[in-house]
Amino acid sequence: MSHRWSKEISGCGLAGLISKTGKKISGEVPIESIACLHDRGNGLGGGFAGYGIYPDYADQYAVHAMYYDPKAQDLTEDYLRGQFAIKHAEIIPTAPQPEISDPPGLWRYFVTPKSAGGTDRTDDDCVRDAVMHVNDEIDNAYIFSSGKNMGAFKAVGYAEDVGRFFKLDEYGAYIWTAHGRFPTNTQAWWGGAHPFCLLDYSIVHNGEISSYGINKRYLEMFGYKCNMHTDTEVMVYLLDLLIRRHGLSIERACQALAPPFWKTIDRPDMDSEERKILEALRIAYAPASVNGPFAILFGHSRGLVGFNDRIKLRPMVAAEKDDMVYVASEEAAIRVMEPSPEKVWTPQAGHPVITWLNDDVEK
Amino acid sequence: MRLSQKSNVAREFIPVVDHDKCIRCKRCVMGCGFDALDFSERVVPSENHCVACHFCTIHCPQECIEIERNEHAQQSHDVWSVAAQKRIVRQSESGGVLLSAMGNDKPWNVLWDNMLLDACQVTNPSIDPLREPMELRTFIGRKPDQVEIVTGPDGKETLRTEFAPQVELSTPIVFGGMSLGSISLNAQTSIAMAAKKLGILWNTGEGGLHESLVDGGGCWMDIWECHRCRWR
Repeated sequence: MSHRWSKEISGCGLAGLISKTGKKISGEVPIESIACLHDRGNGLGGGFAGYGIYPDYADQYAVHAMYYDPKAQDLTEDYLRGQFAIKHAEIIPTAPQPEISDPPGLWRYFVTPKSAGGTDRTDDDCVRDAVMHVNDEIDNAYIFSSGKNMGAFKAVGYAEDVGRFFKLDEYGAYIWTAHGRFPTNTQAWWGGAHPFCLLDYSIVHNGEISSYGINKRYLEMFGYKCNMHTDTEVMVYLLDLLIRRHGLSIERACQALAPPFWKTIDRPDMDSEERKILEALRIAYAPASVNGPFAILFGHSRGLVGFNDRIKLRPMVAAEKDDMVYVASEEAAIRVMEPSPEKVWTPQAGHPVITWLNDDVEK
Repeated sequence: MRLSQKSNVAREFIPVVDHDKCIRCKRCVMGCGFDALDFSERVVPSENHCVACHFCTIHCPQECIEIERNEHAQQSHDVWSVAAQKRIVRQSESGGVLLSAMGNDKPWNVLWDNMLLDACQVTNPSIDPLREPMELRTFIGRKPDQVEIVTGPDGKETLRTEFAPQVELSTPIVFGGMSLGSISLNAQTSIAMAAKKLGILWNTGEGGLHESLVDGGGCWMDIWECHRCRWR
């Protein structure tokens, strides 16, 4: 007997890639990769995020929305028209798949915030507030992607079917992340599939966040509202808070989320200023620290970050070839994309693998 | 309700003075915390204030005071207990909620004794306690909303945010503020030693801080409770 059916061995699967030179890569590549991790998921969620996919509307915020009733769409569009100049609006193109059923209304809008009227709110703040407003105040309407020249595509189903449903082979991106979901604690629905996005940031996640309640309460103090019924959402809001609003570097933000152990900080050979910084992060951002097992891919327009919890309770492998960096749950998913990588390694627990676009690549 | 008001609750205890032995020193009258004794040529019980605290019987130099239970106070039966009768009468006299000391003398479950802390960080139940590190270090004190780190021209990062003073606990537990004046110095010392060993705080309560527990180096982590007055 080679398989014990009584034991459920599933888990989320994730895969991602970045071209440091900004080369556009077809959505077929991440689809093939995540298909390799088919058996990890159970068909209850799949999704992708791509950066550089909307060159024609690169200066507008690309707002992806899902609607579960027509009234929600009317209310949302009324609201968006009040807040934004909408350059273009369209149905997100899809190709029906037998495996994907009951899609909600899927629309995208390319928008610019209207003048904030003398306040010191940035355009990003306006978009964030609009996302929070729609997701919190308008029933049956969810904005699931809101960055510039990027977008998330997600659904209930196996990831490779989701990719085909959204016709991702027609998009080219210099960063892709992909996710096959195995929901453990919350229901499967379209909004609960990964990635979770806010502004420029997207997250796919394997694991569970046992500090969700604390993180959610902390984020609420800064105006973030958690409505997607799943834990991963807090991660993207925390990164938005720490990086965009508090100005921490990606490295320091990752340290706030998964801080070094006290026994490491207490070591006598620790540099005293470094110790002060780490102590400050732990004390001030204790409610932002993320407990529980996780492997995440964090995408943003200038790079890709692979990141594990402090004791590596979820798998993550990374590889390099030329200008490409790959990160995935399993090495097999990388070798589908790149059969002969120059270097393959298992990133250390709690230490992010941070890849940047080359400086000479235009935004 | 002021103690000096007359109550309709029948007196429960009666101080009985042996006037042949009494030397009229009035120590009992002056010391009674409940105004239960008056002096009118001799010591006489007043109203129905006696609660059988036995201050007078202990401090009487002649040992000539006894406290007797009033056998003819309210009678208990299966419908109205004495406690319920007293509560109703007392509350009807004042119109207010009756206040008394903390704690409960009724035979109710003490839930604290059955409390179980299931400390899990990663999974619940904690399936692999050796693999999951538990970090309990806790800081009490005002926290800044954000941390600012600046990078110098040499690439070295420094912390710019200033923190308010923080009290560090190795585990998020503090001894409660008991009436430490009512326990012996040995007992207080053992609590202070336990707090020191555990890296947590103890609390002097309203009893004050004994000088032997004040440590110049601040090694005794303590909460020093300050009261505007002593309890009566």
